Order: sequence, then structure tokens, then C-alpha cells
Amino acid sequence: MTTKPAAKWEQVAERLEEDGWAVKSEKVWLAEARKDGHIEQATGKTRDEAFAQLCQLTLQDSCEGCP
Amino acid sequence: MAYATGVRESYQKELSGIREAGLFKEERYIRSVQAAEIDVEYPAGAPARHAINLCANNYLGLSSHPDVVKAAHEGLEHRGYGMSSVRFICGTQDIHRELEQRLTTFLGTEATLLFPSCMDANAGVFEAVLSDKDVMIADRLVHASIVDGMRLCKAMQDTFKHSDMGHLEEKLQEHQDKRFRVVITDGVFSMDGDIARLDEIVALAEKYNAMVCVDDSHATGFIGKTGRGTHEHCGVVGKIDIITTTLGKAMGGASGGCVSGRKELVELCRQRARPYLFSNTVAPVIVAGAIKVLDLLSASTERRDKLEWNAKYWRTLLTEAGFDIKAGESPIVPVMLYNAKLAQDVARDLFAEGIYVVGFFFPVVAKGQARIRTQLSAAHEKAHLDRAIAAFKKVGAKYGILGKKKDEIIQQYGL
Repeated sequence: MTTKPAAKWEQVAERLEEDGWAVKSEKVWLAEARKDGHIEQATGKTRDEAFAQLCQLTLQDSCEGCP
Repeated sequence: MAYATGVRESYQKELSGIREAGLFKEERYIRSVQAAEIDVEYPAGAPARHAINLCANNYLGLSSHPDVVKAAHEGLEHRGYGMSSVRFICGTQDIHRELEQRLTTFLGTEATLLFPSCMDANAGVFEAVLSDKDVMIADRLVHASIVDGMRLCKAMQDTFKHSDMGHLEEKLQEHQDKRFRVVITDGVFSMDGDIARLDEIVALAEKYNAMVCVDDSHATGFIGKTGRGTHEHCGVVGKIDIITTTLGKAMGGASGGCVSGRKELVELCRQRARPYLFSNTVAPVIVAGAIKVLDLLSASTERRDKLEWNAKYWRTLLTEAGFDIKAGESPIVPVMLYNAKLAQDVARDLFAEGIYVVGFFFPVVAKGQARIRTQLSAAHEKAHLDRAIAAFKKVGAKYGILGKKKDEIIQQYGL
């Protein structure tokens, strides 16, 4: 019986665990907004969560503000 | 490839784009000390023009005050020019400790930590005291440095509509599941000059078990009866958990900032705030000058009283002349012009009349909100403001905006 070699990510995760990190990975939604060469990205467990955070990031970019 | 032709061309194209969009920032060279009247070389290479300065953050007129300059000289003499170190290695002198204690007393807090600037204080404070279990709820018009600080922090980011207490309450209710909630606001907002409703914010924070963080850079030294800041103005001294503020505006105007507040939060900043840990200490000359500023402010409220009078007088003059200004009490008095080109043209013509102001437009302020931000100083005499209003009236008449309301200006010039 042959064992399947560990995937690259598994090797990385193993290395990190050896260094004392508690490692996990999960699928998330990525929401992205682009405007005039500017990019905002946010992640969330649900699409709603990702877009809500994306919205906050874009709101903070609405203007630079006076010094 | 080092700096190959293609790389240079790419950056040149980017700069051209900024120019073409009318967003290129040009420096004006001041050939005098910072004061109510200054000599300005603009454009570069032109003979210096003498002008009344209406755009400095020199609120208390202490930037070139002889006592502050003398104290700075003495600091230079006795503690040297630089420390060549960050604070926690060998960059903390007795005068740094003294200034931090003096700021704590002045602001009515528990402890204070100096930073190279308030920009750095805001960049470092949130990451130092919050985690991914927490939420930051910021007013939508907070200063850019707070936005940067929030982005460097793993806590969830949220915002509430500018000064909208109903919306803030909704957000506080929404985030009751978080470990800690922090409401973040400017004390005086730099764009509009309005003052945060700190008494109401504190009441909501107490109701929903949240901390409050205020950036009081445009308030420390002159807002409130004795100039302690927005928390004094709103009657909530001792109830603000984190105050960030600057020494670079009213407090002598050189540089430096601080985080002041609950002692545990300040101590965590000393342990973890990266701009504190990895930036050089505030120079001794600035620390010595700032201690003298606190001496002056503790001895008399004369300067903040004069500034208050100047701000009221200037607001009255502009209103009577028929300008559209943002209402408020602070010495930040925005003259609304709405159209970006109009703001630049008016600023240019005022400079020709010997009044130094700057037009602000998108992206510094929101689209369609172009303006000239005038800022008062205790260094201004009544005669300065009388001369300034004469120039404003002359230029305002040239552009036909006197007595015009927002809609009429927009109709005439567009957005």
C-alpha cells in the first residue's frame, strides 16, 4: 500500500504547527471593489459578512480628510 | 533592473495623471517664522510676498513664542540635539517623563505616552490594545490617521454616520457580542470644524459598555474653559478612555503626539505600539519647548480666550459679508465654495491680496464640498481680521458669491 504524499499546503501547515502555531483553514467569501486604481478587499464567512466589511472599507476611503 | 527607463516612465505617467486631475500638491516656501504674518515664496522662485496667514494650525500663536523658543534653546543646551535611540533602549530622558506627567495632569487622564506624532499615536494605539474579538466603531469623518490605525488592527471595523447618535446606538447594539467595543471620534473635526457630541457619546458608551477614543488634535490647548480639550467642553473629563493628541498644532506646533488615558491601555502601548517601539524618541528640544507651553497654558487662559474671541469675530465678519460658512464654535471656519476650481481661484486671488489660504477639494473633502478652510490664531489681532475680510469681500464680489446660498453657487459654478 502506498501513502499519498502530503500536499504543499499540508507540508506548510505541518511546519507551522512544529513552530507552535495553531493552524486552521476554511473557505471564505472574498468581496472586492475597485475604483480609480484603488482596490479594497474583504473576506467573510458569508457573502453578506464580506460585503458589509467591504462597504466599511470603501466608506473610510470616501475622502482623505484635511490634515 | 534598478531604475530602468520603463520604471521611470511608469512613475512619471502616474505623476502626470495626478497633475491632470488637478490634485498635485505643491509646497509653498515660507521665508519667515510661523506667525500671523508670514513671507511666502509662491510660486517657487517668485519674490516672497508678505501675507496674513489664515491656514496654520498655530491656534494659540505659540509656534514662535519667545518663551517657548527660549525653553527650546535651554533644552538643546542641557539635553542635546538628539537621542539616537528609541525610547526603550536609551532614548528616555527625565524631561520625557516630566512632559508625560504634565500632559496627564493637563488632560485629566491616568497616564500618557509620547509618540513621534499623533499620526503615529493613531497608527499604533488600536493594534496595541484590541484583538480580533473586538470592534472599532468610528465616526465616518475621523482623521485619515485613525483610518490607517484601524486598518492596522485586527479588530472588526465599523462606522457610524457623522455625529449621528441614533446610528451609533444601533451599531453598539449590533456589536454586543464582541469582547470590547471602542467608539472612535475626532474631538474637533478638521474638515468642518464641528465639535463631537462627546457627552452623548460617553452616555451611550456607558449604556452599552464601550470604551471611547478621541483624537483631540484640533482641540488640545484651547477647546474647553481652560483649554483641556473637547472632553472639558462637553463635561466628560475623566470619562474618555483614550485621548490621542498632538504637540504639532496649538501646543507649540513643532512635532510629537501622545496617547493619554487609562493607565493599562497606555502601558500596553508602551509594550506593543509599533510606532513607539520602532521610531526615534521625540527630540529633547521639542520636549523642553512643550513643557514651557504647558507652563504658559496652566498660568493663564488669556490665549485661548483671545482665540475664542477671534473665532467668533471672524465668523461674524464672514457671515455679515455674505459668505456661506460652516456653523460652529471652533477656530476652524470653512468658507464653502463647493466647486473645486472656484476654491482654487479664490485662494489664488486672496493670496494676491496678501491673504494666505488654501482651497480644499476632493479627495481632501467629499465631492462637491470644496472650500477654503480658514483657521484662526491667538496671534491674530483684530486689525489682521479686518484686513482679511476686506480682501475676502473684494474677491467674493469678483466671483459674485456674496450673499449666495449653496444652491446658487452650485448653479453658477457647477460641482
